[in-house]
Amino acid sequence: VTHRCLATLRKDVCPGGRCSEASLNNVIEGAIAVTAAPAETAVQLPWLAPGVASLVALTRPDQPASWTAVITDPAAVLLLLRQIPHDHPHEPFRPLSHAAAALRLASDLLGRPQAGVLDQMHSAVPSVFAIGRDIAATARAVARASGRVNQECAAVAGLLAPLGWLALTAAGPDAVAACLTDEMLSTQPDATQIKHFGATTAEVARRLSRRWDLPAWLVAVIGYPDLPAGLAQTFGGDSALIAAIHAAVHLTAAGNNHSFGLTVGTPLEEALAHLGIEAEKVVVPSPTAAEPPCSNPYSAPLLRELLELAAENADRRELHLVPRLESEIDRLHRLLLNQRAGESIRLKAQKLAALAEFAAGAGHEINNPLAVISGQAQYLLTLEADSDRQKALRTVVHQTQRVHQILTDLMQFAKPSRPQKQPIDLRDTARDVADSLVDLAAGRKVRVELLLPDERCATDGDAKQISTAVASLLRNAIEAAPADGWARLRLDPAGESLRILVEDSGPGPAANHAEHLFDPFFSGRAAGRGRGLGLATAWRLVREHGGDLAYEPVPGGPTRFVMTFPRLVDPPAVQPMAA
Amino acid sequence: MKTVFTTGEAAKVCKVSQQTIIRCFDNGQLKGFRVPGSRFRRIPREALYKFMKDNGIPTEALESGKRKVLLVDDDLELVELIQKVLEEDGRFEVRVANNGFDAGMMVKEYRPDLIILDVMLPDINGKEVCQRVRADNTLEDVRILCISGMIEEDKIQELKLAGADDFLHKPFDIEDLIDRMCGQLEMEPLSASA
Repeated sequence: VTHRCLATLRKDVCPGGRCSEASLNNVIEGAIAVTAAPAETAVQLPWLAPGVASLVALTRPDQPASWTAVITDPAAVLLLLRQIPHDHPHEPFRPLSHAAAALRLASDLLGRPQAGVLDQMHSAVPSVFAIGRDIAATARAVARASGRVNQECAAVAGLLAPLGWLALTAAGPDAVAACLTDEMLSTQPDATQIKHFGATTAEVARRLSRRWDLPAWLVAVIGYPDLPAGLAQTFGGDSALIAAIHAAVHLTAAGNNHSFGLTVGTPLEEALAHLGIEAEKVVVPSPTAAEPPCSNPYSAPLLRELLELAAENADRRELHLVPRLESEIDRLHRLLLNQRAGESIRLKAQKLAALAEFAAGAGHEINNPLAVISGQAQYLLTLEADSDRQKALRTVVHQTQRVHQILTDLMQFAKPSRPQKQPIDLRDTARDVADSLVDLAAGRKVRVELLLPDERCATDGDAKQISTAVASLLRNAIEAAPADGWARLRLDPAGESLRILVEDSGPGPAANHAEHLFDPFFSGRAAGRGRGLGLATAWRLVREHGGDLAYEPVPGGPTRFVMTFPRLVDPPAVQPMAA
Repeated sequence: MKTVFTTGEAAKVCKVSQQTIIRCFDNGQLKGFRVPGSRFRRIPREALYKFMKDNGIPTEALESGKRKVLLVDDDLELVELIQKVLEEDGRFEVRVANNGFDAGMMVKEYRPDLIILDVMLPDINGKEVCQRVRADNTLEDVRILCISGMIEEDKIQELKLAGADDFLHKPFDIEDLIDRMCGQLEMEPLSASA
C-alpha cells in the first residue's frame, strides 16, 4: 500500500519522472509532514511558551498588577493551571499561589529546544488570541450576571476554551490561517478542521489538557466542549461554570458573526436558564482589537536566570510561610476552642437556669405537701405516748426536713443569692470553718491541719457563701480521709490571687470521674467523696466570686482541691467575719 | 386564761398606745402593781376590765383574752392542721382565708393581731398582700408572718422589704411557728402547749 501511494505521489509531484529519487523523497516526506503535522505536532507540545512580560509578572505574584498581566496571556495561565492538583476544586481560585512551581517549569523548558512559541509575526496568531480574549471577557460578564460563578475562573476557562486552536497555531500557523479562511469552517467545522489539521481542535484540546494534567474542572470545559453542561459535569466539572462558558461561546460567536468552529454542547437558552439569567442581562463586551501578541521568551537574555532566582526566592518565602501558616492555624485553632468554650459556658448557664427554675417550681410543689406531712406527724407526736411510735413520727418529721434541705441545696447550687460582698480575710474564714468541723473530724478520727500565712489574705466576698464553699470542701476531705488519716486546709497567697488548698489522705477520684466531680448528684464518685451537692455548690459559689475551683491531681500525693479567689490588694478595712 | 398583763399587752387589748396605758397607770386611773425588785408595771385582769368599762372601751378582746390570728393559705389540709393546733394552744382566735382577695377583706373587718400568710396564693401573691397591709395606716400594728415552700433566697428578701415581719420555710416545726408568733405578738413563748 505504501509503495502504491508513493508511486502515485511521485506521479503527482513529478509527472515527467525526471526528478531524482532522493529529492522526490524529500518532497514527499515534507508533504507528509505538512499535511499530517499540525494536530500530531500540537499534541506533542511540551507547553505553550508564555510571553516575556507575563513570565516576568509571575516572578512577582504578590503584586496586584501581576494577575492582570498574566490573564491576557493564555500560555502563562496554562503554565499556572498545570501546577494546580488535578482533583483540586475550582474554588478558592488562587492560581498565583502556584507561581513558583510554574517558574521552575518555565525555566526548565526554556533550557530545552524551542517549542510551543506563538509566532507573533504570523497573521493567524492575533486572530486566535482574539477568540480566547473575547470568550474570556464574555464569560466574565456572564459570571458577573449570574453571581453563581467565580468570575476569574470563568475568564480563565473562556481564555483557554480555544486551547486546540492555540496549540495548533503554535504547531502550524499556516494551517490555522488556511482553516480560518476556509468557507466550510462555519458549516462543517469538524470536517474542515480534520481536513486542515488531521484532528478537530477539540480533540487536540482534550489530549493536551490530559497530557498537561490540567485541573478536572478545566478539562471538563475545554476538553469536552460539545457535551451538555449536565454531562460534562461527570468529568469533574462544575455545571454552572460549564454553562457560563458555553453561553459565552454562543454570545461571542454571535458578536463576531463567526464561531471559529467552536461547538458547545449546551444551547444558549439552556445555558442561561441554568445560570438563572436572561440574555438581555448579559452585557457582551465588544470584540477587542487584537493586541500585539507576546514576545518569544527563548530569545530574551537572562530570562531563565531571573525565573530560577524568583523560584528560589519563592521557595525561601514559603519556608517563612510555613511558620506563619502554622501560627495562623494555631490562632484559628484557639479561636475555635474559645468559641467552643463559649458555647459550653452558655450551655452550662442554660442548664443552671433550667435547674433553678425546676428547683423553684419543685420547691413550692413539694414543700407544701411536706408541710402537711410534717405538721400531721408533729401533731400526732404531741398525742403519742408510745416511745416506738414517737420515734417513728420523729423520723417522718426529720425526713421531710431532709427533702426540704435537698431542694434548698439544689437551689443554692442553681441560683445562689447575689453575694453580699465586703472585704474579708480568708484566714478568718479558714479558722472558723476548721472550728466548725472539729466534731465531725474527731468523730471520724481524722486529724485536721490548718496552715495559714502571716500576711493578710483579703478578698472581696460574701463571708457566708465563701464559708459554705470552704466548709463543703473540708467536709468532703474529712469524709474521704480514712480513719487516722488527715485533712488539711492551706491558704496560699500567690500574686494577685489567693489559693485555698484542701487536701486529704484519702483515695482520689477515678480519672474518668474527675470531670464530673462538680456535677450535682453525680453518682460515680469514690466512696465517701462528694456526696450530695457539696462540691457542686462550692464550685458554683466560688465562680460567683470570680474565682475557680478545680481538682488538682498530685501524682503519688494527697487528693487536692484548689480554690482560687481574686486578691484584694490594699483593702480599706477587713471586716471581722459575720457569724 | 391570762390573769396579769404588761402595759404593752394592755395597750393592745385596749387598742391604745402603750404610753397612754403607762400614763393612766402612773396617775392611778388604771390600778396595778410593780414587779418586786424592778420597776416593771403589771396590771391584773380585773383592774384592766374595770378600766375598760369605766372608759367605754369594748371588752370582747379581754373577755376572750385571745390574740386574733388570720390564717391565709390555699392548702386546706395545712390550714385545718394549723387551725387545730392554734386553737388547742388556747391563746389564739383563728380565722381563715383561702385566697388573697378574702384575706384583704378580712384584714379590714377582723382586724387581726397577726396574719399567717402563705406567699403563693391562687390570686394575688403574698408580696402584694404585705404591701397593701403596710400601705394602710390603720393596720400598722398588724404583724405579718409569711410561710412558703419558696426556696429562692432573693425572693424571701423581697418579701421582707415588702413589709413581712418574719418568714418561715415550709415544712416547719409547729413549735417554731408558735414561738415566732409569740415573738411577734410579744407573748411569753409556749406556756399552754408545753
